Amino acid sequence: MSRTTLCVLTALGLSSLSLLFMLLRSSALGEEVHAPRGPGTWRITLVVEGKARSRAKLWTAVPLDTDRQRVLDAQYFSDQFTSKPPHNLLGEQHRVVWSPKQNSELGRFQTRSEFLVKLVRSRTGELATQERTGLHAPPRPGEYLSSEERIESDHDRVSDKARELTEEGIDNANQLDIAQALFHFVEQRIHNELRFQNTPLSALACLERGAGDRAARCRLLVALLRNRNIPARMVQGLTLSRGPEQMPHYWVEAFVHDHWLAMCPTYRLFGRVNSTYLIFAIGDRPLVSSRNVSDLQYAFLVERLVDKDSPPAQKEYSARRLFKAISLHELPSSDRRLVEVLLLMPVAALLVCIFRNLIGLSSFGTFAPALIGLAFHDLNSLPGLVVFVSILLVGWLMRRFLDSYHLLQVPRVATMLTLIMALLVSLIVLSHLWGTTTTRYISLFPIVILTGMVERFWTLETEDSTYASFKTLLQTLLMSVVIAFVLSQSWLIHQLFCYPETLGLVMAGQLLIGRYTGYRLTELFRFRDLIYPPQPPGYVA
Amino acid sequence: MFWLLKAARRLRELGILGMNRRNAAYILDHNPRDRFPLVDDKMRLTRLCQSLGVPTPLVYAEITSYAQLRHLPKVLGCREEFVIKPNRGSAGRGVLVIIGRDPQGYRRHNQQLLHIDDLRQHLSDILSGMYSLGGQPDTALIQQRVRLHPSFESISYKGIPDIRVILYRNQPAMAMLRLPTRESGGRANLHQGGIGAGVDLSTGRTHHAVQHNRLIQHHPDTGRPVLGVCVPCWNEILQLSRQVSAAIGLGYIGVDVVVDAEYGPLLLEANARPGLAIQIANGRGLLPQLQAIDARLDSPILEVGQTTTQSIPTAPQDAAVLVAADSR
Repeated sequence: MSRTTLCVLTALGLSSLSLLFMLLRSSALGEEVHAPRGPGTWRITLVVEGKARSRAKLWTAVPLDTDRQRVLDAQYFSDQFTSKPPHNLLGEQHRVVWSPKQNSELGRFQTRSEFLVKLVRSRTGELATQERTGLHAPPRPGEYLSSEERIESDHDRVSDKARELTEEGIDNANQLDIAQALFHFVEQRIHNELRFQNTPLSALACLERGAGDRAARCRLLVALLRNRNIPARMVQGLTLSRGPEQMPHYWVEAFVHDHWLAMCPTYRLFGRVNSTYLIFAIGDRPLVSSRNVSDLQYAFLVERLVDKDSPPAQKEYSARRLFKAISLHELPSSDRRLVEVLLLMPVAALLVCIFRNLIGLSSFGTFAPALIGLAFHDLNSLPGLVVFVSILLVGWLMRRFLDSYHLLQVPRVATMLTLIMALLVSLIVLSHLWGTTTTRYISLFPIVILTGMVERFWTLETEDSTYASFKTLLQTLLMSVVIAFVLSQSWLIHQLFCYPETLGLVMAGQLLIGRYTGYRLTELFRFRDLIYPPQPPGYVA
Repeated sequence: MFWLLKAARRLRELGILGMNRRNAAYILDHNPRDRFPLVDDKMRLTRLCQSLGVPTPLVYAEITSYAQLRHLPKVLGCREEFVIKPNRGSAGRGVLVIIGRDPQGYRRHNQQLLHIDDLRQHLSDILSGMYSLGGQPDTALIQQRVRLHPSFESISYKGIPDIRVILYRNQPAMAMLRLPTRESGGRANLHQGGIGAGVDLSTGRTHHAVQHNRLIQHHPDTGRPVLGVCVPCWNEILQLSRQVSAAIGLGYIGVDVVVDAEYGPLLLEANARPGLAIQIANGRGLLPQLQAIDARLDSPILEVGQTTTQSIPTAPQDAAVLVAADSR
């Protein structure tokens, strides 16, 4: 059997195996292939309506994706507005930015965000979350301690009240006791009231009135805690329960004994909140905010998803159980993000094969474009690439300068690396001075290959020509941009994530290209004079 | 789209060997990986040639460590001309040609003056692997400088032309003469602006010439015709290429030969992944030649000492006749 036949047969075998596996998986899991259902899975819909004026803008919150609450799916719809989803569901800037579509008329609009969320039940009896990272990382020194708008923690009246509450019968060295005393005050002495005005009530006003809505009471509790030097913050979200049109809920977290301790004055919960508390945001910023919009209204719709085909009581098939167990949806959120990147890498590699063996482009380093493309696929590719290329070019100028020192190779590359890192640090400092964030465009792993690329760029320039090195740079960038674009397609990520066996198809493609002996696209250009021989000079027809 | 398909079909008709096919069907299938060090390591190749009796440029010294650089003046002695090259370099990278000596230093082929420290720096770059395949640490060779053969005087600019022969299963398949130009800086590399002239295998005369993949008839610097030039010692060149190819054991190989004014043809280096530009230089594709060699070697009638009355399949016979006509 010829090698090519062997290759084609292997590729066919691989593809049919992975297709078979996909079929099995989808028949065993049904709809659940795309997102798991069952206890703890909820669909939350946030609908926002209003009247848009020119240059309108809308920001809506997104549930945080953490180990305790996993966002399985997020979709955004609107006829009048375009949506720009957040890059990362964890972090400060996790908001969807909506702006009017190019051709749509101003006026009434509606936007709808749908989230599929799975809540993971925490172990009972736990006083506070045990996690110490991400959302639950300890506050930086001074963080969540100072006074801010509507939380007047250093106002005299707040101070007096806090001191008065913790004076008697309280061990002032024990922060848990202090927190408890302050919580009881707010919970018992400050009356709960409903407010319909849009202006939020501040902590101080709430204390003076002796009453406030759930948000104001939380602000007061935060102010009192901060006044007693306990880092505290407001948490916004929903308390999930069946029933339409839920209101945003507020509760408080205080950093006591090295842990974030949750407390909810509204439902009289101290120490921990129910596992149905879904966190949308940390802080006092409204969940929906807008610019140049009037009559803004919003509401949440909460639905519990229960699988109709198999109620939890009924025993599941073993195949179904197996596929459920190995489903990537079951992984914790940090692992899921890693798996996503790992799954995209072979696709990037396949694209590199296509570029090099079918099209015939060349690049600095075989898989450098794949790495760059992958690094920029979840960012806005363009600014990231511009930063990347400018660092590369500045690095190249530095390399030319360094050449006059005649350093040995390894120390020279080390010096280059130091220079590039210094350049990056100064870039970060400068962008901070200008008030922009560059850091999200700089991720560590393309930076490491950057030094190697500078060296290759310089070598090619000196050995061949500046033209040749810029040509190769351009081809590298072209490949990276296309790879970044393809990898950013959400359907592709979804497909790979729901059916990881798609990698079999990817590998089949790689095998087939591995025995492709036809011409590369660029060779048609390279050998053009042989295809259409030019007439020699002086030739007369 | 249609144009692309038409172009690809035309290339196939012309028998142009593409990069993918070269790699998959010739290099991967005919060149065992364990023979690669023989061609990548110039010192090993030189020793192999010595054992075969194939002439190569003399190696004056091999620099293997930084410590040796201190004694560089002693190593160079009073030599006026020499070539420094990386042992495992490729495509002429890192080659330094010294053509004379002044009180101020060493004179390069482009008249640039180099101090002994510059030579040391260059050698240390070579040792650290700057020019070697894959950036591995390397050694440096100090080699005899080849003198320009009188037949090439009119068609080369400040450098030595070399002859690349591609051999398939130890049979010469195609050859070209590479001529240095002002643009290529005295190097005979095609992608740097050197001239590639296809050489007829049977006569040793150039029949087609290109620079930057475009057809030319005269040398751009000297103005002399580059077509119809007769390569001296042609049969010897073919003979020594065959010898070296057989000894190395690679099925698809490029052999570079230079012709010295005094010593005649010298084997310069061999290449396990010879490029495809030779097809442009010759104005024809490699595939018919390769297929003809396959047909010739696999056809029973041509096997030595064997007579057969078997009918021969038409296609190989046609191909064999084709190559016979071609070489006449």
